[in-house]
Amino acid sequence: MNLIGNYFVELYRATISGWNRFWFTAVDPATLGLVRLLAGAMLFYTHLVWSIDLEGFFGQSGWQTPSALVHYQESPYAWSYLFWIKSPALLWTAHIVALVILFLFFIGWQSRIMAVLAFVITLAYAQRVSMANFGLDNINEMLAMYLMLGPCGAAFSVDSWLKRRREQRAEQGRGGDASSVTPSVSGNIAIRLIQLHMCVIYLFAGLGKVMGASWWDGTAMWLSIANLEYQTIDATFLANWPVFLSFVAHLTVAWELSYCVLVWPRLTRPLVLALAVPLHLGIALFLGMITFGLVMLIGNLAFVSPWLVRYLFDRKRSTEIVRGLPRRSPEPVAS
Amino acid sequence: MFDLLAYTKHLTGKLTAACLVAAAGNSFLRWRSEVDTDLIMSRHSKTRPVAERKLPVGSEEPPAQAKLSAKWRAVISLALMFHLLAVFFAVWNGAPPFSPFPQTVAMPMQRYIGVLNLNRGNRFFAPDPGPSHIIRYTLTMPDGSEKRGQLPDAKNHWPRLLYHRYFMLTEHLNANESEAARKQMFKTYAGEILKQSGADTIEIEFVQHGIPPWDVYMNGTKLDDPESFRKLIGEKYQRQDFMDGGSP
Repeated sequence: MNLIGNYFVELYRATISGWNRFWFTAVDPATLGLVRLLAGAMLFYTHLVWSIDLEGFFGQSGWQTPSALVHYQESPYAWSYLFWIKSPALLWTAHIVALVILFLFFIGWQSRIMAVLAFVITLAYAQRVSMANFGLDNINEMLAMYLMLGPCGAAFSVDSWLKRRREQRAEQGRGGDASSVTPSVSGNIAIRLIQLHMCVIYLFAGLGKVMGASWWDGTAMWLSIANLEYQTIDATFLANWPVFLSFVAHLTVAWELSYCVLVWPRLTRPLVLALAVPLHLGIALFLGMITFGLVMLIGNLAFVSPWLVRYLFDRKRSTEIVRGLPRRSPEPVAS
Repeated sequence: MFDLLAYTKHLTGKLTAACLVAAAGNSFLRWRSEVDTDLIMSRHSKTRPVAERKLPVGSEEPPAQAKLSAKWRAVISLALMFHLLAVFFAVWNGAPPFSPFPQTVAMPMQRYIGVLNLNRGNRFFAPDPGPSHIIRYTLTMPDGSEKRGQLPDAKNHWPRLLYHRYFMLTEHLNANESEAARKQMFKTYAGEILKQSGADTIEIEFVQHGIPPWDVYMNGTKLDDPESFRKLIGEKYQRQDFMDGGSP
């Protein structure tokens, strides 16, 4: 009895300890900042493209009139302030304001406020034109939702640049060096949520494919590249290599299904992330979904350690690390 | 024009709630992680607060979790568990086939899931990459001339994201099982094409474009073989048909 009791006590303690380390460790917000920079650019571009046929998509008598859209809404709780804008002039005004906010979010000016507004805007646009949505909008919403939870403007932003300038001036006055960052628990929570959400997305993407015969008989890749409406680069010459096509189909399913497990251990993480690159670039280049392919890669960036991000994109500030300071990345549970 | 009263009601009902929750969560996490954690810590220790004790770039702060009080960690943990459950069951429920178990679990979270738009299936190219759906039309212009077009149109819809938006309009048209809803949306599309083109009449058809199996293709069938296109809906509308509904 004692043995069983001890097991549960140990299980409880390990779970609590692991949970706390997983969520409540303060980390350098470099990764979050990089994700904000790239996701912000994607959000800005995505919404900029709506401008080409703004009244068609969002007007009261356009492609998706609110009355016809009722039958296609996935949830009765779907909301959007755009449903209530009836005048084209007001629609354009709201759209331009939204674009300005998304641009400021992209460059990281007043990031905490812009992040909340960017999320509201992203959600409102996606819910208003649900008939024109696809995977891109799903990931855009997800990234915007989590970026607003952490200090997404603490790195690679106008905010951080301004802050550093202020600090440098203050330190110069005292004759010191201002090469430091503020660790953040909320930054860690935001990154963790992106990571876990990515795992859920890939798990169900993989499980969905398991239901399909073409992913079992290996013809799914052929059916994808032979779809003329998706096709941007003609890859039908691959029909001469059916073994290769079926291998890629099986690899895709195996990768998606195992992502939620293999992306956590440090040894397998680089391999899992490396495989994401050809998979999503393939979708981007051959199936014409450049934005979707790129936004999935942005989501995968959440698994890149802040140390590596600093080393690659902020070498000036990572000098201290090169000199031998800790290089640990924030994955305490898998360590 | 803009219905201010209705808009205000809507805001107070849904949007404001969503914004408040988001803003409160944002402020809360920021406050907890960057200010209050330091206060809690400084109650028990004489070390400098974290926000002042800056970290070397790229590194993490190992003992930081100890600085949040157990009460606040519990509150945040409950919120995280609720959200992650909502995400998981929303995606599980996001596409058929549906099981009663995830539907029952997700039921109390429907409002949360709906407001945050979490109910996406994420079944990309699943269960099988299928045929695509397009709209083809012939317009009769006021001068009697005819113009042909299609939705989406890779030659005229640029950038590619715009093309894909139109493509999704036609793909989602096929997704609804209700024939009446599908025809209503089909007519809405016809009205918008008439409005944008300035034509008098439109002859429009909703077409499914099948993909030849690998062995059929290897035997010489082309991807744009006329037999691979199948008409699902075909209608003819005049400008007058849309005058009541406000479009075109």
